[in-house]
Amino acid sequence: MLKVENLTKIYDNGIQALHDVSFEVEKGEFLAVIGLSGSGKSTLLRCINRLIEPTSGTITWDGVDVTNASQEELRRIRRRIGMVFQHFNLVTRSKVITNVLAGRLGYVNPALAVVNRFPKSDIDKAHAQLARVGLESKAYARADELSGGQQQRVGVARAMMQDPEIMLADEPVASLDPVLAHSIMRYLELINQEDGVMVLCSLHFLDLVHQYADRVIALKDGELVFEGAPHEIDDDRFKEIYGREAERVG
Amino acid sequence: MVDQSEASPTDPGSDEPTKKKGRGWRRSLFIIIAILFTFVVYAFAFAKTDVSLDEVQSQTRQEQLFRILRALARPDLIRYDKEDLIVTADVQIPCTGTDPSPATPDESGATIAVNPSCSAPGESMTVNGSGFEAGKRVIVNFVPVSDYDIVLPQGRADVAEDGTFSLAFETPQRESEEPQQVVAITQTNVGSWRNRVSVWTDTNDNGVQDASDFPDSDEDLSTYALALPEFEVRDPGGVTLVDDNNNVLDFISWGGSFEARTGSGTGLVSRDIGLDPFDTSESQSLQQFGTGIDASDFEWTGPDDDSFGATNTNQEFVGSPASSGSFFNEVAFNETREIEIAGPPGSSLKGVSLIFFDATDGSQYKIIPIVDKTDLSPRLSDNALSTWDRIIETVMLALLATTVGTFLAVPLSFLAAKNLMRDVTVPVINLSLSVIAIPIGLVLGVRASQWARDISEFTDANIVTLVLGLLALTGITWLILRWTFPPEDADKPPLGTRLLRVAALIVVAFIALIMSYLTSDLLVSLGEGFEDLVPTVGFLGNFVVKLGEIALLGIPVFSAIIGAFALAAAASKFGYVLFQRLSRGVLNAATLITSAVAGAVVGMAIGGIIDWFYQLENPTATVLIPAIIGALIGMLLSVKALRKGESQNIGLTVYYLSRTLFNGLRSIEPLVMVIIFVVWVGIGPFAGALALALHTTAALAKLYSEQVESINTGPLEAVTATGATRLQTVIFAVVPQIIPPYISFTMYRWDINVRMSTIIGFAGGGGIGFLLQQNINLLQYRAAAAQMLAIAIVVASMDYLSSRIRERIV
Repeated sequence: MLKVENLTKIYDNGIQALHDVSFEVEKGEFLAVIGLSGSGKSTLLRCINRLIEPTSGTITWDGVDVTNASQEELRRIRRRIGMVFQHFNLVTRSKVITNVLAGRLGYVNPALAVVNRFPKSDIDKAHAQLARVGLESKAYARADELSGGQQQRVGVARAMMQDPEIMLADEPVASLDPVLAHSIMRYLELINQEDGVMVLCSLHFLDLVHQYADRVIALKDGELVFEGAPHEIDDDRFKEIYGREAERVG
Repeated sequence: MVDQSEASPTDPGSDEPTKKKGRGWRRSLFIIIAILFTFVVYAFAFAKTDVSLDEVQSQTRQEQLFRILRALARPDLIRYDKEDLIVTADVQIPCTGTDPSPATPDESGATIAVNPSCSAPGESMTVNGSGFEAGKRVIVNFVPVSDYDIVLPQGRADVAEDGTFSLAFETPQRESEEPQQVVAITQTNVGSWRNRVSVWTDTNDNGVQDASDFPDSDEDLSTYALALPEFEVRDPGGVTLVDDNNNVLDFISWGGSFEARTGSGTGLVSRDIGLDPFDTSESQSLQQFGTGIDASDFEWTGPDDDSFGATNTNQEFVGSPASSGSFFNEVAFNETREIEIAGPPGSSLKGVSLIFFDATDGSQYKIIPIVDKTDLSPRLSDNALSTWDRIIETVMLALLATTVGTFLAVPLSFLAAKNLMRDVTVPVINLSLSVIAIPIGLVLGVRASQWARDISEFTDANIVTLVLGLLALTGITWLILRWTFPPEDADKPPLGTRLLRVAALIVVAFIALIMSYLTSDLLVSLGEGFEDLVPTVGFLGNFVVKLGEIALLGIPVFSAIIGAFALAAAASKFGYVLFQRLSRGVLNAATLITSAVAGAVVGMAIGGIIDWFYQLENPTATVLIPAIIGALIGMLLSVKALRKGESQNIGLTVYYLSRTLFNGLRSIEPLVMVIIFVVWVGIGPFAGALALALHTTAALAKLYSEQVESINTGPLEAVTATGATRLQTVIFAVVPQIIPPYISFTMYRWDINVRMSTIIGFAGGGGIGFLLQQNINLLQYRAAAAQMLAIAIVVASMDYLSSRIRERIV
């Protein structure tokens, strides 16, 4: 169980990205995070694996305090939290297989990974993960030779290499067309349902939320304004979250 | 916002037009002042740079300029051997009544007549030539009576179609009772590119073109003299005269007779001169005298006035010479070190050599061929050859400097990259403990390297022992590493295991040190062995030896740095343990104390540097006071840091320090740096390479770091999120992104270094600049032109090459 309590983040330039946010996520749950651009969705997800240091508040995961973990402990926590990004964040000049193997960096011995050596089992695992996302034939292609949808699938495979217990997805389909968006979302759903991985996914489109999420939280200007099931978001709620002038699309 | 709208021209207001008018006035005034100011600045610049039109228009200056430009247009690249046709006529200055002898015509029929054949100095004379080759240029010289070889050029003339020329000149202010000479010279190139001709050259570097034969002579033998000014003759010693079939023709010795033990003369006993050839003053020599045709017919006498190249005094060559009847005829080992041999006139000297012996053990130590090779004319001139040598040196110097600079700049560039360093923060107590640990680590590192050196001596630099030792140690290291670094990084092992692993790592580090020494020794031994085995490519062996020696020098430094880093890291870790275990109050107290100590350490280090530079030799001023001030500053900073937060941003400090250092180094031109390196390692390409390498390091580190700063941060974030360490993140997310720009910058830098190295010789840094400067200073513009041409070709082709390679990679 992931427990976020009174999480606040104020950036160095004074912008308050998160204000006293508290919520809980159960093991195996698919949680959607919605809100306008700049409402703090990305900051919230990045605070959970401390890519961004929270200003105050605590995050506890299965009783372990994430916010006060030492560098060494943080490394061990991070390796069990997979993350998928809006812009895929692949090393485009490297091979696909290298990008996928990077997911194991938290596990392999630091001294060995420096010379780009991975155990045989990890390499087999990388091929298996690529096969799972249907990209086995592209293993030795350069990442920038792939299309956007393929790159995001590599991103998912990289995250899966971590044997994650939590998957953070920061607008994973915002850069993709609707068809590809569904294919990526189905991978996340698969991971959630087959492997029992807790998924925290920020999304733009409400139909995706309805289709895939178990539960929704909504952020507005860094504050938690809604928490509940997807079908509870009616027009009034919608206007509350997205502002008065917003129109529902899709 | 408000201010802006008030001042904006859209604001409607009644005073708008007057405002505009006033502004117009001010604008015009400003322009006038600006023009005046510009005028003054340029006037001042003209005054300061001495712009002088008189010099530009001066006749002599222009002539000099044209002469140089013309010389530059004819680079000295090709050498034609020339045959001179010289016709000499006597003239009398002033007239004495006796008629000077007319010119003797050359074999080809060319002759000159001087009209009048006598005159007072300063009056005009005309040289009329006939029978010369049409179209040739004739140089007319006046050779006065003088103790020195003086030649006064009088002018040039072109030979007309009918083979005549005429040149009037003013007789020089050289009066003499004796007849003086007017000389007409035409030169003909020997050979052509279609039909190259063999010529003899000066192989023994005695300044005289080698003869291929004994000169013609009216006598029954002729003589040929050979000067060896730089050659060291051993005393007692001897020399054999050997023909091209290795037959010993003559064998003389000084300081006693001895038997040759090596070479073609083995077993022969020398013919002792009986006199001391070293005991000859200048222009004196030991000579053979007597009448005859064979060495045994003559006897050594002297010292007497020398007669090198001619028959000796009191010597007559009479008889019919044997074809192999050459012998030593005259010798002097004073400053000039000359030896004369006598032999049948016209007989070939090809393959004939002198072999010098040491009488103490009868071994030969030097073979000097009299004539051993021919050359072709035309051919590349000596200047072209040395230019080639130097331009290769230049390119290699630039290559070496770029390589070294790149290797150093790559790791340094990460320190100067803001996006990597920004987030490196540590608690104050870690920082203080690390600072305290650094000097201890340095000392321990040096000590460790010394112990390792002592232990590594067991091999006695024997290649077999070295290899066996290396193999054994590699095995041990492998086993220990296998145990300490399991491939999968599982959960935190118990404390005992971790301590054991740390101990094992220390052992491995020490073994690695020993192995480094063994490897260096092995390199030196192998290189030396290779040098002896294959002397023709000895430079390869020498390179390996040098690599080994560099490693030997570098290991203690490297060990010290590693020691400092390791101990600092350990101290930082220990600090972290304290940070977590201690209560707030105790931690603050500990932080305060360690900061004070750390400040004192830094203070003493700075004090030590000051003492070294200014040699104050005052411990109070250079140790005590800096320590106290440092401690106070350390305490103040820690109080401030503790109040503000818990972590100190060490990364930014490193960033600013390295940036400042690089900018400082980069602003000093390599041409200036080389002056310091010349003092350290002496004049030559090595100094130039070091200066360029230092500058390259600073410049590339800056350029590289800017590349690191401009990388896509997405992958960085993604790799960090997987739980990778900072080093792993750099290797997986940063390095792949920066490889193309790094290669591109390195190529560009090589390009710059080649250009730089062409002039670094001006300051003593070797390369082609040295030769160029020398030739310019000696006013040899044609030679200098060859070097300029070489620079232009190399720089242009480097430019082309590097841009092509960069296109390929990026």
